[in-house]
Amino acid sequence: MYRKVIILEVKEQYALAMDEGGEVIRIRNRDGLNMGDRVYVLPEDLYVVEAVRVEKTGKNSGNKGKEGRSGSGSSRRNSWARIAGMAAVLILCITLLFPQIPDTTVFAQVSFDGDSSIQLALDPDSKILHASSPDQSVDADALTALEGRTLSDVTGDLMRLCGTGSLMIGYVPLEDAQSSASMISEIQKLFGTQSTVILIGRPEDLSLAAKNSKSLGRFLMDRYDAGEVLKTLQQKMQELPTWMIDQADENPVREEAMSSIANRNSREEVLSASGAGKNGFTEESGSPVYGAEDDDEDDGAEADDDYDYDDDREDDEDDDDWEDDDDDRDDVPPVRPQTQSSGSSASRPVTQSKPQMQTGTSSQKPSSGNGSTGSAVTGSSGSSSASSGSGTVSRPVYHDDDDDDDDWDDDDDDD
Amino acid sequence: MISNENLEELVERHMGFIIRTISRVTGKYVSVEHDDAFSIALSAFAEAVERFQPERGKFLSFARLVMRSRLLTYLEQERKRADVVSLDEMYESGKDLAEPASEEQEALRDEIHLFHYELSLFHLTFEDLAEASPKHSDTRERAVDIAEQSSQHPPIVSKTYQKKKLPVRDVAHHCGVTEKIVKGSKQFILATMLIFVKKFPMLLHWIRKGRCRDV
Repeated sequence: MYRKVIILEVKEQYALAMDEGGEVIRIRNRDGLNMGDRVYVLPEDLYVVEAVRVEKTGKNSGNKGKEGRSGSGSSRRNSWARIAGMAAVLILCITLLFPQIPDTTVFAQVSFDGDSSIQLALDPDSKILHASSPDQSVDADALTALEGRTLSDVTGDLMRLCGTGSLMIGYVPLEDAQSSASMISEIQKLFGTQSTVILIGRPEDLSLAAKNSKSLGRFLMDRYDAGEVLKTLQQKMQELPTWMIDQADENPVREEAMSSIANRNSREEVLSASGAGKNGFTEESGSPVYGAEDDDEDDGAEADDDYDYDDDREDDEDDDDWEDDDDDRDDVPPVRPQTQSSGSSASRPVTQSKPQMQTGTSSQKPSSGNGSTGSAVTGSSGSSSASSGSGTVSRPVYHDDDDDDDDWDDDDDDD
Repeated sequence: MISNENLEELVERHMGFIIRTISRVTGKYVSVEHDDAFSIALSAFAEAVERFQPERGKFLSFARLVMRSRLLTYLEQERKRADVVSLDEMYESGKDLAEPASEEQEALRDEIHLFHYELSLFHLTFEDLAEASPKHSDTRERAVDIAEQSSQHPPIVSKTYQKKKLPVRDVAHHCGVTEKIVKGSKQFILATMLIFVKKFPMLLHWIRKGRCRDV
């Protein structure tokens, strides 16, 4: 309640006093207070300082401590206030010095290869999170200008940078593969009637492409051309039941294709065999060899006629896989790239294009525009087929192929 | 009529009230000894105890009124006495209006000056002690004991003056406590040890709550 103290030192606003236990306290200064006085003090007489700065003094020097500015605060509270202030400043500095961490994860990686190579990291809303040029063909300022904008906003810039000619697009979904169908469809619509090839890869392809200093699209195309996919196809064929292989062997086109697989390992050889140019595009139509580039609106029958042996082979085998053994669905070969040719039928859905090969794991789906790994889709303007590819394994790829149907029919008859 | 024992018990129980009333009226701290206002307040309190009638209100309110009345009367008398001599003339002549300090008070002031000087040898001030004094009574009492034990150990004392700081490890080992305990009250222990070493009697008496052992 009350304490007896000895006044040790009298300052302007307070005095230092020692109580009977030896504790030194500060009390409010009042008239008539002198050093050595022994007085009673009450709790309300204690002097609480907001900030007291005591300067260390040298020897034989008086106390030069600075008095508190007011008696309403608490030294401990002031310490906490200082700590809180310093923490706030530190947080502010960190926020200003370091770039803000984006709150969205990368949904997909897309590369555009034409006159230049550009690779974009997209969020689920097709917003460009990061832009790069693997071959350094685009300057940093132009890349920076793309970031933060949506794909639709930068279409003009992409056309300007990559050219208005044939465009190779590489796509790797990093999130929900099923949701990628809509993004692929959006990408396809971006370039209107411009000739494009969309190659769909796997997440691990990103690191491999970066390791080889290639854009995603070029890496996927090179891998495809290197025969890796064809070799996988050959391996898968060997795993087929004997009766299926025997039936397939009866197909002369397929036989020729198999021999080509065995003998031809270079892209140029394959292309030359098909009569296509080195760039993979037919000189006449400007469409790539593998694409369903035709103007045909109905089915893929006429388009099939323009295709190489690979198409027939794939028709047979893929159909077999799909039709007879759903369990083997995941083991089908990778999807072939298909193109969007100028003037291609807007009504031709992607899923109705030529059979598509798949690479890799059993979890893959056929390319129905759903971003299945290792698959490729065509970009057909106005097509919403990519979005129709919901990631489910379906037969639409083969439905429009009369030849395939015929084969099935034949097979059924044989059964 | 209330007995003296009961009155002393009442005064002790209401000491804080009495001191607060005196401070608010006089505007000064109540001195522990030789305080006329305190004496007057105590007599007024006793009067209030005698005259209090429960049916007329609360006792503390009544006692406050009585004490205020008596104190204000006393202050008025003191003011009139001081008006007899011109204060301005006394200020100009340099005469000190304050009452001359007693010998005991002079001795205490001398001790305080010496204590301040000893602290300055170790770069300590009273302000430092105000910051460093343990707030908890148990901690403080233990620190005083540690200081006393250390002051009785010449090697620790000599090492302290030699290095101009408290030898924490030696003190902890000698007193049988952990270094953490010593470090927590390092400055307070050092200051208190100086009081024991230099044997400041009045300060010693004070920090021992009136009990002095070796003085």
